[in-house]
Amino acid sequence: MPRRELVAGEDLYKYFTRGGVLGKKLLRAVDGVSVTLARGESLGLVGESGSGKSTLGRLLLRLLEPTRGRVVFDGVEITSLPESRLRRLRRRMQLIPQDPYASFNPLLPLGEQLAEPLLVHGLAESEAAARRRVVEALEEAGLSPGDEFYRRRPHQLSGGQLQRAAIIRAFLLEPDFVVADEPTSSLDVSVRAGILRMIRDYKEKRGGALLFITHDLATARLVSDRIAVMYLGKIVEEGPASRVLGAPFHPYTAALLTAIPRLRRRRPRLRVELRGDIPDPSQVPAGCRLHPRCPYATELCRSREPPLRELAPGHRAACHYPLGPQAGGAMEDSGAQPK
Amino acid sequence: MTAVAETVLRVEGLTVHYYTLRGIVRAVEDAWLEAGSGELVALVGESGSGKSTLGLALLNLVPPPGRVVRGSVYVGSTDILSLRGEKLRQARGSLVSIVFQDPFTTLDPVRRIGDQIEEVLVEHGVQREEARARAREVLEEVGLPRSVAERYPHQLSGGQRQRVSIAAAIALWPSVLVADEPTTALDVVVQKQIMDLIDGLRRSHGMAVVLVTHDIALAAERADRLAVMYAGQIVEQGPAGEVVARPLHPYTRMLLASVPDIDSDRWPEPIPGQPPDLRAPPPGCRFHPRCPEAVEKCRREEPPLTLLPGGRAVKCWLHAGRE
Amino acid sequence: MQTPRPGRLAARLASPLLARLSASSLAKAGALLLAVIVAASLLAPLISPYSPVEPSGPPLQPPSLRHPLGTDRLGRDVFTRILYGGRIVLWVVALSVALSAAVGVPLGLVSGYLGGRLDRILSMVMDAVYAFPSLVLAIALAAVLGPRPENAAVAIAVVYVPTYFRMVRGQVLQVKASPFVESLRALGLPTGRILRRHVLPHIIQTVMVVFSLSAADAVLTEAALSYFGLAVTPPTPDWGFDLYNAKGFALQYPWLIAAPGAAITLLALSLALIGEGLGETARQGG
Repeated sequence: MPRRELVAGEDLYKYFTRGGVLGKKLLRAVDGVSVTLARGESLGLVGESGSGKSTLGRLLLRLLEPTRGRVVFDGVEITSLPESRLRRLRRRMQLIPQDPYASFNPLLPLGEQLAEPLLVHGLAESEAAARRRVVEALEEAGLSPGDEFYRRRPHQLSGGQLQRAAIIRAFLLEPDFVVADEPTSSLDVSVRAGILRMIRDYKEKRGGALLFITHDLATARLVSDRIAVMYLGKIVEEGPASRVLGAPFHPYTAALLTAIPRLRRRRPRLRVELRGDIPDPSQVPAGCRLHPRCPYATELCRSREPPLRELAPGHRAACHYPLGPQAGGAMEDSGAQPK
Repeated sequence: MTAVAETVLRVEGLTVHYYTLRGIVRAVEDAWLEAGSGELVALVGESGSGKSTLGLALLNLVPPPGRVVRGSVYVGSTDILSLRGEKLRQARGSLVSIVFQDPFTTLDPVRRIGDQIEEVLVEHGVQREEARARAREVLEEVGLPRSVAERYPHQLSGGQRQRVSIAAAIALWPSVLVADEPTTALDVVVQKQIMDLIDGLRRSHGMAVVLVTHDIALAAERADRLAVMYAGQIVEQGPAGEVVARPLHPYTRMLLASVPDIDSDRWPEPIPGQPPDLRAPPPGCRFHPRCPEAVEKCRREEPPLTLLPGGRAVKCWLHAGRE
Repeated sequence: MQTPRPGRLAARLASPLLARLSASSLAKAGALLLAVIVAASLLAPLISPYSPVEPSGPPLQPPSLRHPLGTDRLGRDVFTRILYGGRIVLWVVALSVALSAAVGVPLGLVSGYLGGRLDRILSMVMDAVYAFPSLVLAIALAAVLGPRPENAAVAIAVVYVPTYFRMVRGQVLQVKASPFVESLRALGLPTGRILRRHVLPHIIQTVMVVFSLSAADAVLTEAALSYFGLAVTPPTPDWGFDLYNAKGFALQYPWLIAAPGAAITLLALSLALIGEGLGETARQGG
């Protein structure tokens, strides 16, 4: 029977050392994160700069090796698997990168770059067969005539078109797990919608798991079943999308919801304002990472790091004084308010 | 705001072209805009719409090979575009100022913050002693401790640097502040801080703000008036709430529909096609190739600017002749 | 597993290069000059009736209709010696550059991409060789190996291997960190394929520029080696050696140094022009 859990990161840490003239700095990009994705599930990984979300995505794809912790894919531990053994598994886990222009070889025709992985993984019987598949896929995605787009160089396509090609390239291999790393942030506003739809459609058709990395909560809401919010290398809240956005437990999530500009000028009932800026990731505050900015911080918050605990079914948060249900939306709260 | 605000900014028929080796790029075509004291007017458009060029033109800062071909920019009773040399230099900073997306554009990395703001004041004729005091004062006004004056730009966070840019821009209390994507490079919580700051400053000092942005939600939330730009033209203008609730121009409608809204489950709709090449814009209405409601007239003739009650204006054949 | 046939790959690489070449007037000028020099050397017997090693007239004659560049100390026609001398110089330079590239480029590719201990060791070795003053090293090596053109070529090759290594390694490090290589890894493409099909074409343009510029440099190094008699034995014609022989006579018989000097300069110039021209179009993102 196929495992329900497809991808699992267990207690992952990824530290980088940045050598400087005045001494090395330790960058704790991912600082103790456990996350799982089930088959067919869509997880939105939300965070701002320095949150570690991109690094976490790459750890799960084993494009980076964790400093500590395990990565398991479909029951196989891939944490320290040598590249040669990993290669074949890679067909089943793909990446849609942020900047399409940077992720294609500018010198080769687009079609060849889409066909190459098919040939390498033995998914096509011949070059001609691979070519036919690619042309078909291009047509289906609206890049028509497929023959012509096959021949073009990447820089001859618009950002939106090229990102479509990147999506095709990932899904042609029929992966079980796809990581989309901010796939729309380098695109024009009116083009983003098309890319989101395409990812949604392909994911539905394929039935695979999707890790959607973004800094935009509104986008995360659309594409995710579950949402995990990251801050300075740790997950601070995780749960079903509607709960996390509708009734968040963590002040950071609530602050994000308060801050995003809204078309209809509506604001959540509980408005949480944070002070200051995100600290440098090489200088993570002690205790709860949010404490220097959090309006509810107490001595406990400054000294002890809160664990990620389940506060409602399937909904976890890491806070000593989790918020009540009024934080996100409709209902009045009867829970205790800190300070 | 119930009182009628005094108009501090009047843009009339502003046209800016770039004379490049590959042809004349008609970046801004016949723009008309107004802002009252303390008002925030948002200039919304995608990349290539001409909004940044328009913003720069308000200070006569369009870089070569760009040139203002026609039009005037009145700040109070002074036409910025008619000023030259010393007078223009004086006007910038004291009448109209600008804040950019990347604060490093404005800040010198090897000089202290306090010195840089002082410099701006001294250049405009303020005595050295007074300038020093004023520099520290204005840092407080933007929410920074006075001690920041002794620091260097790289010692500050992104949000703090942007506050410093704002401080330098408002030190002389200009009547108009142009903010060109001031928060795009910042995290969303800091974005709100900066926008709150700008709101506070404009209300307390009656300063008009022209916010140039591609983020229509941001514009919808903060602006008193909203002007939508497409292919170098302002296609729709009006009170922000009105324009968002009842958009008149098809592009405005489609733009609003193309952004995800966190308050709803609605899936955003992409706008098919591409913006035109501004060296050879299509005949007639510049939006017609992508417009689902285009008729024969749209393809042949450029629509006039139609003024409608409620302070609204739209450039579209569907609404022409209704005034 | 299919790969483009070598012929197609070479063609694919060559055409953008040719495009680059023709895009730059500098490169075209250099290529033309080089072509003239090469042609002149190869067609020497057809151009000059004289022998480069046998006397063909009275010694130390100034340029005249019979001897366009005069004659040397032993009565040999200078022009003929220049023509034949070109063959030696071209041979040594071509051989040395080919050897340097053949060793330096693959090592740079592998070292840069794989990193780790291999990279550290190789880099140290290369840096050590690079730190040596090139002329001193070449002279020392050539002296040890003996005065033959092939040995001179090897000596020069050793001197330039670190140049190729470092340039290629630097480029590979840059490309390796780029998102596009990450995408290739994510797609599960094998390392060899990534290097060969994606990384190499990227850096080939830089390699070509280095190629030409180091060839220009090699011309000068060869001239120095032959000046000290380390490249050929008399009576073989060689530009640098002829310079040396003309030492005492320079003031009274200036054509004896002008001719080989000009020849060396022109050849180095032609190669440098090609290199600059290629580099120019590369910078413009051609």
